[in-house]
Amino acid sequence: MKINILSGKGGVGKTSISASLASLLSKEFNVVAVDCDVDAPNFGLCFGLTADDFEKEKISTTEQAELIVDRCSECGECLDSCAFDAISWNDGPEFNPFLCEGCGTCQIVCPSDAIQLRKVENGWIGTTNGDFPIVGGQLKVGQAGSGEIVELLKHKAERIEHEVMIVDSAAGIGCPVIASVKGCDYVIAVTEPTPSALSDLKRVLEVVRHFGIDYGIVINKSDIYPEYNDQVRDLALEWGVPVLGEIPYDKSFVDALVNFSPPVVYNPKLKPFFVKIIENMSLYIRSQVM
Amino acid sequence: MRIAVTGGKGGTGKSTIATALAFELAKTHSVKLVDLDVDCPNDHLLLNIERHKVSDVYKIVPELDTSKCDKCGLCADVCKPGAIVKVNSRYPIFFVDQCSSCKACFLVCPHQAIHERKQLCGYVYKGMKGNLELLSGEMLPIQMEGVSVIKEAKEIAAEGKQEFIIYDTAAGTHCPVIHALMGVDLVLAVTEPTPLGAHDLSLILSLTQQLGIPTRVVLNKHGIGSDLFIRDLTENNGSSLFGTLPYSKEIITKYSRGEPIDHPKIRDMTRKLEAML
Repeated sequence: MKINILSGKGGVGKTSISASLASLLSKEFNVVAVDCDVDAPNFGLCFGLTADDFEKEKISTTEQAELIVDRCSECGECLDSCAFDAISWNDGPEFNPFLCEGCGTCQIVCPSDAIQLRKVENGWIGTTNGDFPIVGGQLKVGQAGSGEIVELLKHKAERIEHEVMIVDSAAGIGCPVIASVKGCDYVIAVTEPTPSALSDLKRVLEVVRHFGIDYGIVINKSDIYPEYNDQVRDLALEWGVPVLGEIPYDKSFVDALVNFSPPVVYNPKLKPFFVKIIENMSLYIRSQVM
Repeated sequence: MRIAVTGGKGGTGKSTIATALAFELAKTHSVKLVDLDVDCPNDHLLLNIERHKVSDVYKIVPELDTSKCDKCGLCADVCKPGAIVKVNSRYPIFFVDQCSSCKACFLVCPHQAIHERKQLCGYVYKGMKGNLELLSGEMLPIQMEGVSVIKEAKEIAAEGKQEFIIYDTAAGTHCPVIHALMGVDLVLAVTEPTPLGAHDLSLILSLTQQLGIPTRVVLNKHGIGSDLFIRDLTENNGSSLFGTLPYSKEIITKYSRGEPIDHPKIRDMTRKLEAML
């Protein structure tokens, strides 16, 4: 089964919690973890694994427009056709690689067949092994196509033998998050009791519900604003979804990061909080795995 | 002066720093704060501002006129995002949520059978706190069209004259962040003193270097973790530290309750920004 961890808001503890849950679950099940934050991948870092530790393959999921100079009649048709403002004029068309989406519209309107689309290497995907396999990747800085890379990561993880797949999403609710949620069996929505985190939780849950996926809520840093904690609980009740666990603010979350270790491994006192989350999910997990 | 507050990693304090700088600067200058985290805008919550809608943002999507379509399938062939599916002898089906509005299908159709239709993809809101004007972009979930909302919010912000426009961006380094950074004079990259903060800061510094935008680093949550991760990295990337904000329970409490952070370290930074005007 595939368990997705997301939050909408960044920095609420998705990756720390994903790494801790993966670490605990790997004692009992075959686990594979997927770091779907291809903009800013951090899951491996929780285990001290950097990009250098991944067995990488380069990938190309996007194309970009390129001028064949000697065919260009400098008519300017391409300039007007670009919906992304990626073409500027400097004695002929110039393509801005940060804005070009490779849609090919300029190629279609060019009367002289002077524009071609070239595949660009926009990142890598790979696998590394800690206590369990981790699949991750990196979108090249400044490139487009994070959603497509996330799809590739999930395919890659699918081919590794596993009982439980832990899918760690990026922040936000855009293309990469949609790609990481699609096809998962269960979602753990991590939040913290602040107005911002709650607002972002509501928005990301619209995506989860759009795909009809079951979910539960984990409240991290649950003691930083008690009144808001009550609000999150009330909302969960209203939505008819379980609060899988509440984790009080603990400085060892930061110390764990600095020591390249998941919080549950770095500070065994945190273990009961994570065990409880798994127990609360376990009926669901067992019904899927067994 | 246009300043973008960004950082790569989520939760490093981008919105905390952006709102605090904007609020402080607005005491003596004309300032617009533009929330360009259109996935999850939060600046109005941090400043406790009631927003009202000033603009509906639309994207252009294709609509088929079946009376003109001869089912040739060219539209599906050119659609790079895979938003048009053509099966056998049926009419093409448009999945407009996937559409990037590139208009390739309109142009390639030999029978002008595809028309433009406007689809709502987000809103721009406005609100005030004292002299500070907030513009806040918000995309509709599932539409995957954050960039149009970002462009619209930036256009509205550019109207009129103000001494400072502060853009607060989303986490990450992908298209919504790139579009938010386009055309700014200075980037403030907010980070935290952890290996994760350092890793993601290195990515954002590499992005702004490629975009050619001067970038300074703001170290938030100073005192947790270890500064060493950040200081070396900042210098090695040809950037320098612009300011720090300590980790404190008081700041977190203010953050949680929608009060701007009023701190001497914020005033240190606004004085530097004033000197750059």
